[in-house]
Amino acid sequence: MPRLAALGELFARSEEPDQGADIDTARKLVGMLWGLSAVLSAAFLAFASPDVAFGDAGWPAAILIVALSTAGARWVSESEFDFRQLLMISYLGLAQTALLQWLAGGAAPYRALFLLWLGSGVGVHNARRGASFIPVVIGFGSLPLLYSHAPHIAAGIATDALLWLATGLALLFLIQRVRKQRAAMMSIERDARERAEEAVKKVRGLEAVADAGLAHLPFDELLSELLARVSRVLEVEHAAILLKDDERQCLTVRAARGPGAELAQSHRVPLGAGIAGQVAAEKRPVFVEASGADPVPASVIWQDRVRSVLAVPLLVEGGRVIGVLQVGSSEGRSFSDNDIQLLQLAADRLAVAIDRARLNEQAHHIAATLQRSLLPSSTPDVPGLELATRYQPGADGTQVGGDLYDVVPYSDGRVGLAIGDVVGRGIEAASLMGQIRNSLRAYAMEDDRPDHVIERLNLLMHHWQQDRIATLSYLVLDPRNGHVVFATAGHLPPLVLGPDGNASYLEGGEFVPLGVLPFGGYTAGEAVVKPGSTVLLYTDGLVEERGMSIDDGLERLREAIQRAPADPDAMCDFLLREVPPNGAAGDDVAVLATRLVPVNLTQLNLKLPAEPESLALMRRALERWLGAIGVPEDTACELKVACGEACMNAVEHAYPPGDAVFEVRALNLGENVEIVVRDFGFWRPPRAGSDRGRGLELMKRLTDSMKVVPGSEGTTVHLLKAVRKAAFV
Amino acid sequence: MSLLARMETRTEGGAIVAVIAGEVDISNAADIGSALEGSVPQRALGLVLDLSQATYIDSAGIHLLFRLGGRLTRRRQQLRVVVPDDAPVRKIVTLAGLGWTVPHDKTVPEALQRMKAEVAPQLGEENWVSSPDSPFYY
Repeated sequence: MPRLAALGELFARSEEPDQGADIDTARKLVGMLWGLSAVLSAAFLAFASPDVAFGDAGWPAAILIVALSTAGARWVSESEFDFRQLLMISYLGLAQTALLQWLAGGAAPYRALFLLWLGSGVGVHNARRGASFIPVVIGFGSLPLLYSHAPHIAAGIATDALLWLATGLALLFLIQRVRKQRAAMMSIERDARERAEEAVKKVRGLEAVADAGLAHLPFDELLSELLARVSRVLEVEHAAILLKDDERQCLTVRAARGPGAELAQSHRVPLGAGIAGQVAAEKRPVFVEASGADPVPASVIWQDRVRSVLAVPLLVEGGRVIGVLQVGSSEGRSFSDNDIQLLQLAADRLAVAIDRARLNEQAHHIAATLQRSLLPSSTPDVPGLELATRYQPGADGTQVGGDLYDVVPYSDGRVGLAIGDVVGRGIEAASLMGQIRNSLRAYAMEDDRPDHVIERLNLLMHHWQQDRIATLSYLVLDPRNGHVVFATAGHLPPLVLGPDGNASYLEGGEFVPLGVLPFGGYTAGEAVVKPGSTVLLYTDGLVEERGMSIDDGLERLREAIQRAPADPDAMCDFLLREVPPNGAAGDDVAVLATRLVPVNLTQLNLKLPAEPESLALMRRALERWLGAIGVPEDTACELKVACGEACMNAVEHAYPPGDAVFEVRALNLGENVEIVVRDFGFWRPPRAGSDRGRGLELMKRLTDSMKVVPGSEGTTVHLLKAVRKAAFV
Repeated sequence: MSLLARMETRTEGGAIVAVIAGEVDISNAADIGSALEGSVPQRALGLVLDLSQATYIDSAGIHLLFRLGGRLTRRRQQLRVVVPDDAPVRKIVTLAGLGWTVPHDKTVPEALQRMKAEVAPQLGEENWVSSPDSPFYY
């Protein structure tokens, strides 16, 4: 079958290079054939006279042909003919032989001469051209059958047989030749493909390590990503980056990859030891391959796991070695020059990145420290509220943004919520943000009206920070009744998500950013939010995108918050994930979500640490609850004091100090409220001159019934008080 | 931690007038007590403590007032507490029986007037009396 295929190919292919012969040999061969043809023709003239077709006139013609052939032989071998012209000359040879044969009346000996030309076609030319000779030769060879008076029958049969045999052999030869040519072509193709693949691989490898996108990765991710890419491109399972530690005079593994990478992590190699040490010392790539079955002995970090190791130095400006990049394979494989170049390229890239990262790491550390110190580290516990804050730095992690937020608890249970944005970035913006935050706290302490606070901040800023601008929203929320007072200086409006799942922006209280005008004009807006609502403050990074109107951004946020989880922490995460148009690559985003926890109208349960500061928290929670169940304010005040006295005892008697807690439970019994305060210590006898007795007396007078129940695990105080005036009517 | 109380002191009519706004409980009573004690110079007639803006006081606060009253009396000065009828702490102060030892008044001017009538100025020159800088937060 393959033979048939080759035969088909032989006649089908139109374009083929002139394989298998060089032009000089071909010219000599064709010339020689002409010479041989001339000699043989002359010889044949003796016994096959060329006087059959034309009579005696055949003789001069035949002699002329032989003479021309003789001259042509020399001419052809010294000519500058190319293959195509040689082919024409070979056809010419065929033609003159055919002419002689005709002149001789189809005499058999001439037929033998066709063999020469067959040889010329097959031997000199490429397969297709050679093949075209076969029908021509057969055609000419068969011509004598047309001549009725052909002499030399015996010689004719012999030459014909010879001719057919030669034709068959020539065909086989040609087929063989086609196959060889095809194999040669395929090997050329394969070589070319391999070279192309090699080139593509190299380019891919270069791309992989030179990828500009890598520059945005944090340092550690860059290291592991580069290792991953190097391992993939070089097809090795182990890769490691060792950094030089000048103090300890050793190389420390900074990042590693592959089986057992965690063992290699932080491994130290003394300078000069092992392959890495050698590379660091000699500043050139080193390749080590294990001989026999033993692993590479000098691979300190991979010990018995690798059989070949390639290591290149990490060089920075001035030819300083800062570390070593090495890869290892558990198979004994070699590395091409391309591989070494690629690894060195990755190493160069790494060296620059590491050098820069060391500087950046310092800068980032400073920035991050400043950032942390400027934003509140935690939000205060405000009874009745659940607070969550998030700050997500912008794309460039080393730059400190000017976003700020703060939570200012007031002593009466209200809470001030601030969010703002200083125009600009960097240390300067951040420090201004810190100043604004501190000033805000100071002013908030003096005055609880947001418009007054913002007005003073504006004057301060205009006076001290000329040509700096900041936006700010300040909102004071009363958890007891949901009353909100707010003022906005050029900031985006607060968003309120109601308990019914509908969100809307608060309107009013808006004026220009801080630092724009040398005088005030800030006003406050007011609203009441229902229990279960969430108030969201945010900075523009959450909603602003180039080419998108701010209204679209606000609508997008409003729509997103309606789908967000109710828990403020989860809500912040959800919004940061869903809303910012540019994802994490965008601007800084600060978010402050405050949920007004719905009040349980049947009971209130508190568990508080046994310390004096807890009493205020208890009062905040209790007054909110009493307000929610409709207890008149003066009655609520009395209950607060009575409960405070009970809690004070619990705080004073809790054992052991430290982690101790006490519990307050208030029950709505319709006309009465019962409060149970339970501690887990025991009451010591009152100290002389203590106000204990006064406290107990107060409790008794402020409630309708008071009971102190001592127990082995603690003391419980029961207080009962009628809270509905209607009950007495 | 939030601040519960704000205290402002001033000199008026030869006495110190201290206004406490916010809440007094066990967590800040001791600090407020020592600050109040220190704010009254020897020359002053006494201390008028204005509780009209106080929103909460418990036995720890009451105890502080008793103690302060006693100390000032020993120094031949007077403590007067201003609790108008609508003051949130009025009921507690009354229930605790503070009135037995510490006189109550409805307004500051009234308190100052009575103090002037009841306490003989010491060392004269009551106009020189000055109060510490304020406000303070507790």
